[in-house]
Amino acid sequence: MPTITDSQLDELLSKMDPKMAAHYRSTLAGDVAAVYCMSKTCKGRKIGAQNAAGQWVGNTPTKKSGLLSTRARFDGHTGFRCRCGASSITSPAESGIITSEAPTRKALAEVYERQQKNPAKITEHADGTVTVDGFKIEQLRSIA
Amino acid sequence: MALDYLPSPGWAVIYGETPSATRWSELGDNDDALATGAGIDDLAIINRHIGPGAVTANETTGIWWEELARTTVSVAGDLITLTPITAKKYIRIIAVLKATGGTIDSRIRFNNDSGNNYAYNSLYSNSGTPTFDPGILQAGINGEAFTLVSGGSVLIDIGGQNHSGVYKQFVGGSISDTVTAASTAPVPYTIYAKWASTAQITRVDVVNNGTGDFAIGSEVIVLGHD
Repeated sequence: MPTITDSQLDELLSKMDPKMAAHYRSTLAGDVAAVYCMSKTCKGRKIGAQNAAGQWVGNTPTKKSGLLSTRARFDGHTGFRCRCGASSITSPAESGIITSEAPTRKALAEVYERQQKNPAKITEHADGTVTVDGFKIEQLRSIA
Repeated sequence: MALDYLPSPGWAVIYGETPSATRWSELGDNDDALATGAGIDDLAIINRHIGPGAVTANETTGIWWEELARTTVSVAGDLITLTPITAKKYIRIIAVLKATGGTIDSRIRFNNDSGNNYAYNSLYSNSGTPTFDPGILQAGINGEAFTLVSGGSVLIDIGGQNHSGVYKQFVGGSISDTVTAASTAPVPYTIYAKWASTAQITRVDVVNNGTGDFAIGSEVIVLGHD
């Protein structure tokens, strides 16, 4: 079966309509990163992966495990919410401040201040993976 | 696939959160269920959706009477008022009046008009022989053949036209009874009445001229249709 490298795929897609190219990237290209839920329920189960288009896509969920949503947090990390109930959607500094409403400048100032005192709980592992607030992220390859 | 119910996801998203494909799918299912109407819960239709004035004639093709107003007596008294009432070309008044503390002798008035601008011809029977009983220059439309003693009740049901520019005409009647056994027939009362006013009815009052009160639980409903 003929194969195509990521660089060849990029060359091919660069000539297409950007929206269609993003669609093909998200469906054809290999995953960039994987996320594992480290809760007691999930016990390190892989719940989703980031595709080459930057989208986080959940695995086929089980009843109690699966990626429900993601969010770019103000501390620079990606937050996750798992079907098991575990969540790092808000950082400890954002907790109670960031809601469904767009934040005010005052709220952001408070988040900034609290980030200094109460940063995210980050553990860097020997295998290169990083656990942020209970979710382990494994980088599989760099984004092409 | 449209659901026959709206799933209660029990989740909300916060600022900047991106739901997964599964959750987007749930939202899509909800949209489909709402579009077909299948997802509207039985308890989702509450009083304000169907209450007085909420449903117009244009939305009720094939449905006739619309409830325009309703008053249920919570404190015994001599006056039951229904206002404001949306003016419709046809009107129907249904009243259940219960007597307490003495007799009731009801009159129906419109637009707070207590002048002698009402007239009627009525037909009733108390002993098998029907009797015509006209009334002119009255201060209201009579509700029943005889005053009712405490404990008795009357059901009034009269309908009429409420067109602007002409006098209002009504036809209907009532049936009244004291608390008696089935061996006693109730008193029938048929009435043909008019209100000498060209204004459309926007208020209905039921007034007691008897010695007692309309008891708690007495109720007057006004229906209408254009």
